[in-house]
Amino acid sequence: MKTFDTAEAVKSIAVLTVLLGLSTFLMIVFHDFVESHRPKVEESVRVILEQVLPGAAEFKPVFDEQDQVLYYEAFSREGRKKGYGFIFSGLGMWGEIRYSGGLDLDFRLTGVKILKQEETPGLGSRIEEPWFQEQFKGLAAGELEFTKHGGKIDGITGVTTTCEAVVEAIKVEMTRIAGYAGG
Amino acid sequence: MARSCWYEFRKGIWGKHPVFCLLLGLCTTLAVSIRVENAVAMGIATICILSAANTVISLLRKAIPHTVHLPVFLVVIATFVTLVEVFLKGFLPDIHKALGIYLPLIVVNCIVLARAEAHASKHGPLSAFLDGAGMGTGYAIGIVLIAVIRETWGTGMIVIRGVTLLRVGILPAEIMVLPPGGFLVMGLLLALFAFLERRIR
Repeated sequence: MKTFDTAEAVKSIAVLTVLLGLSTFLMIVFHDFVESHRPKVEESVRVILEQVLPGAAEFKPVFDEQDQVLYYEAFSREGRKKGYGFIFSGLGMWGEIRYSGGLDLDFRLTGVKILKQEETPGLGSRIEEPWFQEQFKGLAAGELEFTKHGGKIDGITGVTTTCEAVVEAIKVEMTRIAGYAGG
Repeated sequence: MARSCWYEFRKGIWGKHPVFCLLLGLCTTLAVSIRVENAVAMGIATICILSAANTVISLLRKAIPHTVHLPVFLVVIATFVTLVEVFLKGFLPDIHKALGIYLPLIVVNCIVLARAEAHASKHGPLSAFLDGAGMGTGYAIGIVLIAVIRETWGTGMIVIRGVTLLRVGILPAEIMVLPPGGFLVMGLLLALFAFLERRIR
């Protein structure tokens, strides 16, 4: 029978401890280096909504009784009302999908952007591709249908569940805002 | 010496190809080969991690107690995977997003652990580095080859960083970008390489 080798055990523990320490140190140093050198992305509401509401410059949040933001009213630089902006989350196939979008005064989409998603890499994640998001421009809530059902939105091959979740979430959000804003 | 160095590098590409001959690392090979763009990124990440991990493990090989050699290998590999992940997240966030979970999964990619165990722990740093670089290159060639076939067949074109490189007038077969397509292409390529090998002999 093999006897317990104390020297070997101590050496094993020592080697692993030192190595883990070094590894952790290296990761922290490298992480800090990357953090301080990477291009910074500003993620304020204004920056997000400007991308989906062309021509708008001011965004005023509209609150409900519990002080929750319902949506944002968008104004041009001259103070003319341009439409409505929204940022919200919905469920995709695997996790949360975060959207931003804008509506004009007729409650037609001026743009939609997927801010964050956790869908299948290479399949569901393709909803982030610009051509997919471009398709929503100019559509009213009632027109959000897939081409295979006679609508104007092309789905993505092999990504039916995620695409349907995206279209449904945006449709519900548009209807909600139209309800509050009196459309 | 020069000749054996060349052999250490070349054997990962021709002779002991990690994907087509040793059948290692199939999980990521099948999962990330939907688009050429992602396959290239995955290939480059694997080359960096394999050669770096192999070199460090080779340098440490005399200090590693046998009882804990696997944990030590994994710590070294996981460190390099994390470094690559942090780098991609910071500087190439879109690639990082596209690779998703498959990037951290390189830690358990059996090519990396197998090369550490079978080669790096028994050879000097130069030999281990060349072995890692060669095996990594072999893996990259394999995954890109599968991705080229799958993306062309499945979508009718190849798009890298928003630029269409190739467009063919075929009716795209949806199944090629879904998991069964990966197995299909893998099987066809394995058959092809087995056939070629037999012909050469």
